[in-house]
Amino acid sequence: MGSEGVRPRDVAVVVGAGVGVLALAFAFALATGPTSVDWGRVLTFDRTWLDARKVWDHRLPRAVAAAITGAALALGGVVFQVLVRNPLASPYILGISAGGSLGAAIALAFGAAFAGPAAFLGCLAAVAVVFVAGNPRGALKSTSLLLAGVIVNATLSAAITFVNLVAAPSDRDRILRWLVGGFPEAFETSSLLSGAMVTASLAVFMFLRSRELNLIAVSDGLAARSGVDVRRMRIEFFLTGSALTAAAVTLAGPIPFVGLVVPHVVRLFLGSDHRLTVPVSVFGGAAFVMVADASAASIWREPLPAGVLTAAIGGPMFLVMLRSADKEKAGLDD
Amino acid sequence: MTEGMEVFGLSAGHVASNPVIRDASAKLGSGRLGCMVGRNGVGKSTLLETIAGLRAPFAGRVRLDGVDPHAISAPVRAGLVGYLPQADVVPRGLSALDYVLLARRALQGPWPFDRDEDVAAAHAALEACCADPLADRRLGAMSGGELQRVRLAQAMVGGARFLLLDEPSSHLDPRHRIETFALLRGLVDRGITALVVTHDLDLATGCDAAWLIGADGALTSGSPDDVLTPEALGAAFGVPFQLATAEGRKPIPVPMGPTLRANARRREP
Repeated sequence: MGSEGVRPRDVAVVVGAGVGVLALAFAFALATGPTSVDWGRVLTFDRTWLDARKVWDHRLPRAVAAAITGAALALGGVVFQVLVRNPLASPYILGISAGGSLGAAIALAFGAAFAGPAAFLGCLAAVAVVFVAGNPRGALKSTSLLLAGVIVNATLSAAITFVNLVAAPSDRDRILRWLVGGFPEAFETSSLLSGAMVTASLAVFMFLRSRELNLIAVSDGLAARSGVDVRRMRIEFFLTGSALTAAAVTLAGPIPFVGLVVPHVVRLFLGSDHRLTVPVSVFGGAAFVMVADASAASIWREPLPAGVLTAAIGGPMFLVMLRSADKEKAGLDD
Repeated sequence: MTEGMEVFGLSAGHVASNPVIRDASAKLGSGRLGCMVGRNGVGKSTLLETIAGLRAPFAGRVRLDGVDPHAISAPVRAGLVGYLPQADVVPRGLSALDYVLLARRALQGPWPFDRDEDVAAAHAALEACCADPLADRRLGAMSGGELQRVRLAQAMVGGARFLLLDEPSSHLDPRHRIETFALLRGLVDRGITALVVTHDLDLATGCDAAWLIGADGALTSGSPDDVLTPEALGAAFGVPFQLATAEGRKPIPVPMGPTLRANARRREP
């Protein structure tokens, strides 16, 4: 970004581009599905037509859910990668999603129709455990927090395996599908609305904290010397990343890969200034999951969960980018 | 109000029951270049961090132009005192300007952009450290001497009147060590008060004042000629010192330990 740092103009440009990409992804998600629709009927908005109901009552809310999930996961990845100062960090690395998965698995094993509420409670429980284990008095230092999270993750994964093994075979199938990560056929408007509000407000909040993200990404010492209350900031980042992860996992289960890789792709192209990384990751993550979900719903005889495609397609794409990119600029050269 | 830097009865460290720095008192006049000398692990960095307002003392007080750096907000402190740690993570992908600008955070409001005055201050700090031509260069592509000048610019970009520098000349070759001290002399001539931790005794004797931490942790201060005597240095470091004089120069203390060569079997070079 030249010799003047990131300017408001630069952010306006990337947000404008992000809105454009998001609009294209939205159009793709509405137009793509297991069956083709007659757009003359769809655009009447007349719900007596099956095609209109398909697009406006099923594909639209699902695309919105995918956008929220993708944005939350990508931003959660950005925040956690700074917090534990590790490029391998994803929103799932601290075990918060594993808490959600265990909650969902237990609910499904008892025959619940929806996994969402149980997943949310599971996430909250895991957040509380990791927060205490990560030692908030000691400012949630990177390494101890990372270790605490990874161990909570491992413990919860064992519990998830146990629930899976003892569940009835029919429930086990539902648990597996949930664990892959994907979107249900129907959504409560209220859950979409609350997910959108949480994600949007935290995105704005993290954008306003982008200089603190920049400083803490370098070192806690530099942040402290630059007048940042490091302990408070690390707690804010932890709670923000946790809330984003919980929102995403509650809506869609643990969709893999998005939160790990979208921040890296953004850094490979734009460098590691979070005034750009935060907004671009939000839009990029949203568009990526929308496209992945719409594609997954239409490439097979039956609709596949989005989580099948995010890693299968995103992984090879990322490896190609990683070969040619400026890794020093992205902070990936050490 | 007393001008300059003053510590009085200062006690600091990691645990209050066993402080590293005990009852330390010393002064450094306004617009002076002071050096702090002492052996590894004796508490030089701890003392520096405490004076910088980054580590609360267990007892005693710090005054910078009469102001207690522990009693003021972070933005005010950034405009008062700059601190350069001995070692820090270097974000290799950042340009010098962006790296220096990071430290302007203390003086900025909630809107997350650098104002024109922040960019101007960053360029001015780089300029003062003879590093403005490096503004667009990445830290990963710099030599040790260049990087040290950029780090120094970051320490002073808040407009600090006091600079606390922890071994800014270590890892540097003789020419760059001398250039670093010449740079500090230039900053001091502009009115900055600087306290520098160093093991370069030849350069330390050229400072306006010296703070010596003895082996027992006791702090003595005064003019370098009075403080950095061979006797005091010998006691502080545990090796004998002698004054060596190059023609036309001030005598400098040099350590006189047994040379590796004298004890070794003679070998062809």
